Amino acid sequence: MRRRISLFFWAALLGAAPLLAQESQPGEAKAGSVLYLAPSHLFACEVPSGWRAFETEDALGPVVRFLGPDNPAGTYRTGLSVRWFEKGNPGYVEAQKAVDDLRRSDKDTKRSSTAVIHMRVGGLLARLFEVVEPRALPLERLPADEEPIHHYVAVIPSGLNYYLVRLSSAREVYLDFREDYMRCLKTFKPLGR
Amino acid sequence: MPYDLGFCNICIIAPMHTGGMMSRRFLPLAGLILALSAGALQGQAPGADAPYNVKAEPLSDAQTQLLLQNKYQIREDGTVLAADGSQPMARGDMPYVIQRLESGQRLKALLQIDLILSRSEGEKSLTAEERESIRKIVRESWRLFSLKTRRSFRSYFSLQELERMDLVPLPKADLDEPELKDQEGIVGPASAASSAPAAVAVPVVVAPPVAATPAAAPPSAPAAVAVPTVVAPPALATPAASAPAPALAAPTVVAPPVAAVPAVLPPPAAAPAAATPAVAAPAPAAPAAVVAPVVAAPAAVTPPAASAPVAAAPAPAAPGSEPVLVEVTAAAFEKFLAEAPYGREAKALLRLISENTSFARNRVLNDVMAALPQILIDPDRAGERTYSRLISGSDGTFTIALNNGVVLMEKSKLFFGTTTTLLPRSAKTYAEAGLPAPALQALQGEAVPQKQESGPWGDTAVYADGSRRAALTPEAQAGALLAELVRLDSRLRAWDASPYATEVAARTAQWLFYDALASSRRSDAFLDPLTRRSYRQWLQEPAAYHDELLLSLSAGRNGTVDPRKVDLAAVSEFDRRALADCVRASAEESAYRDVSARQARTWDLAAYQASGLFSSESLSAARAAAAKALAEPALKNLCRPEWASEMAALSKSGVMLGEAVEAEKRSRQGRESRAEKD
Repeated sequence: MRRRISLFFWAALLGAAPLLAQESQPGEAKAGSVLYLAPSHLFACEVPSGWRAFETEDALGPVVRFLGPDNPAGTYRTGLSVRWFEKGNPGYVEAQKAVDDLRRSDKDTKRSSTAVIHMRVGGLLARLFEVVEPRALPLERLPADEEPIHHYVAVIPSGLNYYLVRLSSAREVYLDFREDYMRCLKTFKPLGR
Repeated sequence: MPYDLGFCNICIIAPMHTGGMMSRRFLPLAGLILALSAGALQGQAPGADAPYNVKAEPLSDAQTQLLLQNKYQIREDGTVLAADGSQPMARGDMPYVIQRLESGQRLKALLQIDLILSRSEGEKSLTAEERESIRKIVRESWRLFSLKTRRSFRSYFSLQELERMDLVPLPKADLDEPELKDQEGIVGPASAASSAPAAVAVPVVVAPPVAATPAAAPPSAPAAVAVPTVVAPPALATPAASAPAPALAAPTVVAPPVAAVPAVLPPPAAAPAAATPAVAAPAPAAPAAVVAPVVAAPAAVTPPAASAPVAAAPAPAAPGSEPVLVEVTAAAFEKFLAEAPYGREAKALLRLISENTSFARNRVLNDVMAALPQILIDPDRAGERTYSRLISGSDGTFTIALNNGVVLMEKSKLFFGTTTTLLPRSAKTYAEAGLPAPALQALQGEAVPQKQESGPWGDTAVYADGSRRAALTPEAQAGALLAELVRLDSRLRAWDASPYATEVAARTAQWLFYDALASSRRSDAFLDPLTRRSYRQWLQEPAAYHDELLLSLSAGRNGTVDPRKVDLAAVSEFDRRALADCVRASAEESAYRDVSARQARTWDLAAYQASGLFSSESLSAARAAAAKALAEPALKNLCRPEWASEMAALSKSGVMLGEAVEAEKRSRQGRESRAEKD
């Protein structure tokens, strides 16, 4: 029993490692990234240079998406999205409720999330956490397997409104993109607020 | 410190957008310059709506470069195409576009400098590399910087350098907002459309307002991203729709600066020798005709009298034209079903759709009555699709094949728990992959299940070898059928320039359908676990749903959405470039598709291998066969015809996407207002 608990402890520690890891040194410019300025001047941040970007609006409001590479199985593409939630728009809930909703766990669907950590992003106090939930992939094609999808999520309140910055990827590759996600957050400029 | 990070976004960036901090004494001078150089402003000058022509009014080299960098296209006749390639820029718009682009470039330069300084040890301790980076950015953007900004960076340059740089004139004063015309009495497109009962709002991403004063934007809101433009959907035969529809410009989407093909995608191979320019190329469609899609005016159809519901099926559309729409009441559709050439199960599904569909109901029922697509419950034809598949016949007919269940196989994980693999039910699907059907009892029709278990998949048949077979409910099948009917509709109307827009519309119809059923039954238990998870995510966590949908559809093994052309602007840009050198681009596209299809087959076989159901010999044989097979037959034309038709259908795709967005928005607003009342 003690051995099993010990295993869980180390597994949990390893799972938390990505967020606890030392950040890159200031002044260290990462090659292969570009400064992206949203055409609407909603925000600016550094993103990997090979990623395809476009801005659109859906039922929830404006969103900028960045499409990255496929996972090794070709079932899920890594992507970054930056959304702006504005009070009065459909789907808006207060930032704290949004964090609580996004972090909800569900045994039936095997959804789980990490604790919230706080980080200053573009002069605003962001709440960061990770969510994992399995999906049958590829979508609506056979044969399909359950694969965990990993989300890095940052809720960045600006007054009553907030940005939602999410990096979504297959869990098997999520650590490969952690640095890209953190770079986007560290260089994030909330121009629209 | 010449550049204070703490207030850079406010003090330096704000004036370049707004001009609000410009000294008043410069205003008369700026007005004079503007009056002399630009003539009267938009809306006031004669010919302001005429296309801008660089031959008549040349641009500076820097302005030309700026336009090209931002994906504007300068054609040989001197006209300038908008970033989405849809229409020529109006003469009156050009000063504002130039100013907006310059503003964006200036902001980007300052942000880049800000980032370098943020990463540094402080401005006084800059490394040589950092200092040189800042100098380079400043030099490149010097002509855009105001006098005040230039002063902030003078310490980075020597006197000799400054002497040369100061020869560059200061940027001109910001343009004023054009005076708005009194719209009273003028029936514009928006007002005409808003008076139509069936009008829908279409989000059209537009450039942020040019030279907006600080008061123009709400203090806590970001710059305007998208201005929903209300337009009438084409070809709706409602009484109001008989009014002339406004000509729609293609949705204008500001092209982002990052636009590279994801590195993971295989680069297109070199054009085969057969497609060298020496081959006489078929003349591509005239660019002007191709790049300016305009929604055709709706066919004027006299609506049926209210007392006499339509019973007759709408007439099939002529080839190349949009199907005509008539209003289909529930009674009329029921009457149609009584005599329709469909089986009992298909009729039951169609009836469910007729009774519970809100979005695109009229269009899909019209299509069913006019095109009579074959609707089959046939796992063989559904193939590798989990739920359904739309098949186009060579004779112009359509078949929708529905699956009625899935085969499940549970595997134990390394430590604890199990993982479930979903397998095709049809032996034909395995044969198409070059594999023998695995010896699972759940795949054999005559096998008798050991027991029936109730679980997340409902009543599931469990066989002696551990394989399971679960059935899909009629409600789940009806939702899948509805989604296929929306896809069929977009194909019949040639609204399918953007597969992503089509998928969003199809799935919006499906979720709204399930929502109506779940509300009336107070449960979503009729859905299988996968669909239920997606439906609940759409309902409760829509941001994640939309993200995951795009990332799943654009993945290589799914292949529904081409990651090179997701949004309408990307489709336009891609097709415009392809049409400019059509023969070579067609050959490259064939090679690209071939490589992508081979990669997808490799991934499929890897998934079959992971199931542990196939021998290494059969997998090797399947791999060898897959490597030989071409993705598509040789092209009949050296120039692919779909690019021109995609360009022509762009605005319609935008309308369809806008309809779907509005339908989802209305549904969410209704749900929220009901929750508030409760």
